[in-house]
Amino acid sequence: MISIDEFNGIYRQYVDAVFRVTLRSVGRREIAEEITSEVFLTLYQNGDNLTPEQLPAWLFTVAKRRAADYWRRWYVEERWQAEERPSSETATPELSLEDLLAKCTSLKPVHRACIMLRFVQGMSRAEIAAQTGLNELQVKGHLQYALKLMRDALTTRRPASPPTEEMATDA
Amino acid sequence: MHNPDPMLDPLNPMEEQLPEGLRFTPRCPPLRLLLAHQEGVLPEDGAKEIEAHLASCGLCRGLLSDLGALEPHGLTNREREAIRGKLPIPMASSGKNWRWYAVSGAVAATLLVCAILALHTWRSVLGAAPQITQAPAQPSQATVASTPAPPEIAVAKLNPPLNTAPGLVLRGAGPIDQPDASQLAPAFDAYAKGDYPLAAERFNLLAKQFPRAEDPVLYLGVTQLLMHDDPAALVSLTRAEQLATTSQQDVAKWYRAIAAVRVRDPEAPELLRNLCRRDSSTYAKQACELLNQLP
Repeated sequence: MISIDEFNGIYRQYVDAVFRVTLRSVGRREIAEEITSEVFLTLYQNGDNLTPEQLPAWLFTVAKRRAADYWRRWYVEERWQAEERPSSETATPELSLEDLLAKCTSLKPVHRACIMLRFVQGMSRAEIAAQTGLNELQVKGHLQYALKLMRDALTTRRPASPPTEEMATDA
Repeated sequence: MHNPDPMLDPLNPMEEQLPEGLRFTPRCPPLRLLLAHQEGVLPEDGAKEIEAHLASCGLCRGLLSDLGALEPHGLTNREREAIRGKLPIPMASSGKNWRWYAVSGAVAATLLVCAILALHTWRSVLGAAPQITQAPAQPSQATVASTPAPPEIAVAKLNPPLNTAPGLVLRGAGPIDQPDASQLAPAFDAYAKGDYPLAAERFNLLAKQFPRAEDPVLYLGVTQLLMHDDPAALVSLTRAEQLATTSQQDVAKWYRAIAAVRVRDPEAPELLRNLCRRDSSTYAKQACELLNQLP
């Protein structure tokens, strides 16, 4: 085992990066938290053969292996089709969301991401904020701005003229 | 994930509904499966399922692309404490009172002095022995000191190409087998900020998406070197050298040679020798110096 001081130094230096890699791999913070702690426990128990040059790559490799184990178990226990999905069909389909987003050329990636996370992925405002690094107020503003452009585009059937984002946020 | 209760979710009011008469692809996979697929951690069957969906769903492809520029919230203090709390390892820095700090400070100062003395002694003992101390940097490059440098060789951070600078906008459509500036930007943003794990992930994704493009795989290799993932760096940089245009050939050769030295590849001296002979190369002098320091 490595010494406690060595371990604590490595932990302080890399815990954020390991968590970030793990979060991207499993998508749930509580699971990323669990796996991150397992990674550092593995380091403590097996780290005596490691050299400084192998860090942090070794930590990321362990994290990804644990994430792969998690998904293997997940696929045995449940399928993504079984997860609760938001209803997305409408009675009178006229235009696809993909076409409408493409039509609203003033939308930035952050607006499209908020719309997708909200209405296709069914996330709450807090979940969108956590996923995008925004705060909830910004998420609300981006959603309202994007929805206004989309409604205008559907109404006019011409490329929508962009309102200012402040107007949409204030509405 | 989806919260159907309007009382709990203030986004449900009518003004925040999608416009009527809109249709969109039902039953897209959860985002976390899309991201896990990007990270390469799904089992084979699951990965195939996601690949098939992505091939037919522009919305999900667009979402992954749009999210490339955004970062999830980092580790909160609560989460950091929770992770630490799960580890049965004492925190060395959990001091009891000011006396503890005074004693530990004195010990730390003593250790520092000893370390400096030991370093001087070590240098004088090894002074005559061949050793690689530091790879000289190209004049326009900054030496990276943020990650723990291996004792034998440090890597100079390669500057990003100019066409990814935020102030430049490429006009017109580029070649179909090359990523455009907007696709490269998130990777170079992480690279510039020193977030090498994230940069490596993004370059890796671009390298898979554009297998004939030289920049993603070259910078993937350099990033892996900066992360001290040397075996992977050697693979990436060998590929980068094959793809490199004439102007980038020497850059790829130089970084490949560094990776080869680090993993003690038997070809390393020959790679350096070839570069050393190229008088016109910016890296010739550095390659010669490094070659002379090899045992």
